[in-house]
Amino acid sequence: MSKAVKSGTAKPGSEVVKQEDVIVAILIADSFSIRFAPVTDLKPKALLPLVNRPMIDYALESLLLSGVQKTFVYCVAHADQIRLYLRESKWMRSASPMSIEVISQSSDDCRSLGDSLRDIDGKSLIRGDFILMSADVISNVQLIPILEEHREKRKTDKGIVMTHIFKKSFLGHRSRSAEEELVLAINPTNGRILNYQQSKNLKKLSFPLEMFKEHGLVDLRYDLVDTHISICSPVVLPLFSDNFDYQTWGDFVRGILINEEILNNTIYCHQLEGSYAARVSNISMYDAVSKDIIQRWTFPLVPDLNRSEETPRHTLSRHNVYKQPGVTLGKESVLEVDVVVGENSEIGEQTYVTQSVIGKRCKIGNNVRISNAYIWDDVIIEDECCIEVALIADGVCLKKGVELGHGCVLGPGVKLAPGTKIPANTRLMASPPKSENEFEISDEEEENLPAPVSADSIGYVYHRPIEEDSDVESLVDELWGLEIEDDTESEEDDEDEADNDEDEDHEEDLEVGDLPEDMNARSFYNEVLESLQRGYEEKIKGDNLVLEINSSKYAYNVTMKEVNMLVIKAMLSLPSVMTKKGGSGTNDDWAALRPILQHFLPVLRNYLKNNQSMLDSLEALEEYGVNNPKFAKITCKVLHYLYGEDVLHEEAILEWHANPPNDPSAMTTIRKIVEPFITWLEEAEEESSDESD
Amino acid sequence: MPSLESEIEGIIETFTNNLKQRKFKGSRDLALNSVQLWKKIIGQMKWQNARELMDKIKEIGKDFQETSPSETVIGNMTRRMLKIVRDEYAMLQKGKQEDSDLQESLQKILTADEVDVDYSKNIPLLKPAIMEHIGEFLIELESSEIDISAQALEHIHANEIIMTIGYSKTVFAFLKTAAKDRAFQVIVAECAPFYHGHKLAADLAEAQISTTLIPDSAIFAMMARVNKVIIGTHSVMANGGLKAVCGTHTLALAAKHYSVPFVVCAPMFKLCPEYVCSLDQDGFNQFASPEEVLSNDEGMLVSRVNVYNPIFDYVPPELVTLFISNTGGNAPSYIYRLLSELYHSLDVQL
Repeated sequence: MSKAVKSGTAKPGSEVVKQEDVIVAILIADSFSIRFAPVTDLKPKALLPLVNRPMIDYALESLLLSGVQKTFVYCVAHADQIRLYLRESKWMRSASPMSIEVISQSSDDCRSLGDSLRDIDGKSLIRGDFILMSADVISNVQLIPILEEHREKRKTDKGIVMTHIFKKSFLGHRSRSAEEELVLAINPTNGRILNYQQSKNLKKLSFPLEMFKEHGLVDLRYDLVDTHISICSPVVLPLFSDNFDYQTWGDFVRGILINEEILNNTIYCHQLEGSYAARVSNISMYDAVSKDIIQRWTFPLVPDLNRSEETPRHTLSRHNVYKQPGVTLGKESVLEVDVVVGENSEIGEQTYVTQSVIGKRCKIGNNVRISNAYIWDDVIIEDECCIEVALIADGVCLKKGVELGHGCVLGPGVKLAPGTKIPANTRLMASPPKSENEFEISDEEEENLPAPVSADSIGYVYHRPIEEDSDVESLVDELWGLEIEDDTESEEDDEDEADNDEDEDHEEDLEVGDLPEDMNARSFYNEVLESLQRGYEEKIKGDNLVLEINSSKYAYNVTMKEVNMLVIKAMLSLPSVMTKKGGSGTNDDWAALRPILQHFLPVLRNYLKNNQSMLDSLEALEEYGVNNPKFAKITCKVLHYLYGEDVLHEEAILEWHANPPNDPSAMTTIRKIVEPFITWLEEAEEESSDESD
Repeated sequence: MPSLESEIEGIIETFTNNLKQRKFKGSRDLALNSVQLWKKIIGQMKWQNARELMDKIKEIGKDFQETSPSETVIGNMTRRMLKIVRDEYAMLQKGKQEDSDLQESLQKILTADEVDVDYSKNIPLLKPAIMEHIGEFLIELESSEIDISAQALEHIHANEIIMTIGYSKTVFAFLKTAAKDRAFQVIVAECAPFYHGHKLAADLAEAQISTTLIPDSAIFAMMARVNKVIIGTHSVMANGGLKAVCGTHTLALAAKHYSVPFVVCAPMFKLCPEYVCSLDQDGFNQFASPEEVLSNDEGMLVSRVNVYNPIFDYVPPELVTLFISNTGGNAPSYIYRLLSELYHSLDVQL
């Protein structure tokens, strides 16, 4: 430390600062991810509209408002589109106080943030300190003071390479991105980052002991959110070049911290006070940031203060309703709260819109209900559609009576025929998936999943390529909309089920930090329950349901055993979920359950193929029975039925009965109830074979 | 000459950016800056005759107004420039000032269609005349604060208790001037959530004025002992109503209840020829980030509640006792007359 001070004073830092007067920023206009697919297949993420304005505009505007004089926009995917957009926009005008240079690179050569920084280093464009920011960051932070703070710190610590900006958001904040949970160890006296760990799915964290020995005070922070804005010393670029394995910011930080002893490089953290910054890293963040913009947290980056020649200003009326000129509202239509409507859009009669963004030139029919939806430009929504929690890209056409489930994403150009119902969390695109060349829509027996859209629709289910970290992704996406759902209707059910789940994980619950897995299983259970319920109500074919359940399985990363158990439980709880009160008498219960089981026989047969899976399901039956005394009464009937339908084989049933139950109370209840059935089985078996227990 | 054009464009761009970044401190600063900008633009821009100049001013002025719709001062200054052009043109044309308007009857004002003055004549002397007039206007703007505070002694008497709200430079200068000769007390409402009142209280205390800082909720409680309310305002609407910092309406109602005179310090450039038709009116109010009301850190709360943070209040004219402008005191009912002197009726709608 003392060494650093000496060298700092030897080279007067202030003069160096004076020379680098031009404030430079690098804007990375690519997120190197496919979180927004299929919407980003044809359009770069930076140009996706966020509250009727391309995302990159917000980033550029915030840099401009901060007083940045030169910005390098580094684009990879769809670079030509970004270049074209910027050339046409006000940003490239000569009179603009901030000059912009676009650097593009093909996506083969540049696959990560690290690659792009290495490329920029190779071009040797940057000499002084610079601001590094992602083009999907929305912020109203004044960066110059932070830059000065960074330079000030260099006077005392010559090894400073980066000041990274964090925002405080407590747990449960909507702009906390689930996939970017992190834990930081900071020296509270000077804000130096001592340790950085991504905490998603981690049960425990470990910190080196030296850290505590070396620093008298260490703050461990879990309430910070990465804003993806950093102030970098010029040395950052060569550091990336020297270390080819640095791909992301996290790699860089970890690398710096590990090599701290050798290189004496340090990273500092700046914590925002009273300003806003967030990155649109995935669709649920898109939702959160849009709401923040509409509710004006991003002030002055709000729709009614944004204007250019191309886009007229939104006018703001009470309850955060923003309208551009030329909006037509039909009789008795309601824009309730937090609504943005773009230029020349028409909204029909008795239509209800809340917490949504509607783009330009959209046509929305009569009696449409839209809530929590993001509708981009030129979308046509005909009468009596119902949209809740959805993202609808440019040029989509929804015919009369279309209903979208929660969290749907419709890619550009999708057209849905009248009355189509799309299940929750479906992503649709207008062209068939690449492997599938035939132009056939509504067929089931293909290898690829059949698109769950009716005839005359243009819409194919998009399947994300399953990669190693895709489970996290879908988890995050899947969560979009679930939260809102919980609030409204299904709360009571969820609670019941949550209780069941807790009982089920009895021992594991004692472990601290078991939450993620538990969460996964629970979300999976909810998902399955939803699928089954819809499947039953809409008489969806068993195979489709199996596929749906399987995709949920991958999404939540649950084991096969859990799948078997949870599917059974979900089926058994269906009658009570559907009637919301649960039947009163034994006969009623069975009468309600039987058609359900009958409908799902193919699903059951699919899952219960071998002895082990049958044992799992029996275990589930038993647990369910223990927790639901009402059900316990009809366990025997269920067993008998499943046996009769050849879903459960007698060997499995007998083996299950032979083994002592996990829960001692089951002995007295369930086992007693099924006793007659077992005896009957045994008798029957004795007739056919000799094996018995 | 493209370079000249781009130079003007550059000036305009810088101005709008400063506007967006809220670099101007107070509306007088904004007024001064925008007039200086107009001076530059009118000086450098190429125009053949007054008609062309006026069209251009209108065009650019509209643009400014759109950039920051709630800053009425920008629109006022644009209208003022147009008025100056009209006056100078008329004067050069007829060799006399076009002040006949003022002498005309109400009837005539209402019925007169603009008898088309032909603005398309090229008068070489027009430009220097306009520049000179703008120069004078700038001086008027600069001295407006001093002119207002010069009247302080007429309104503040010894041992009075004055109440004010938030921070207004004009009010501060006004009180400071009065304090040179008279001893009085000031009660400052803090004006949450921005708490500009804290700054005023600190400044007043530094100027050796006996000052009390109160929360906004205590306004009514304290009003009983107040002799006079003196406040600043963001702008004065055409009917004499105020667009002032949030909380002023409360203050005005409390003053009315106790029949305390409600005096508003408003220099002439804050007079705006627009009316408030509804509180939903676009550009009337401005909503800032809710950050000051509820910190964005507050996890669950932020997603579940709607937080609004309006900046302005509308105070109806009947609650205002007196306006003190740089030209003297006026009743709210007289504002329309002042407006007709300040701006040309055709420029009201930009």
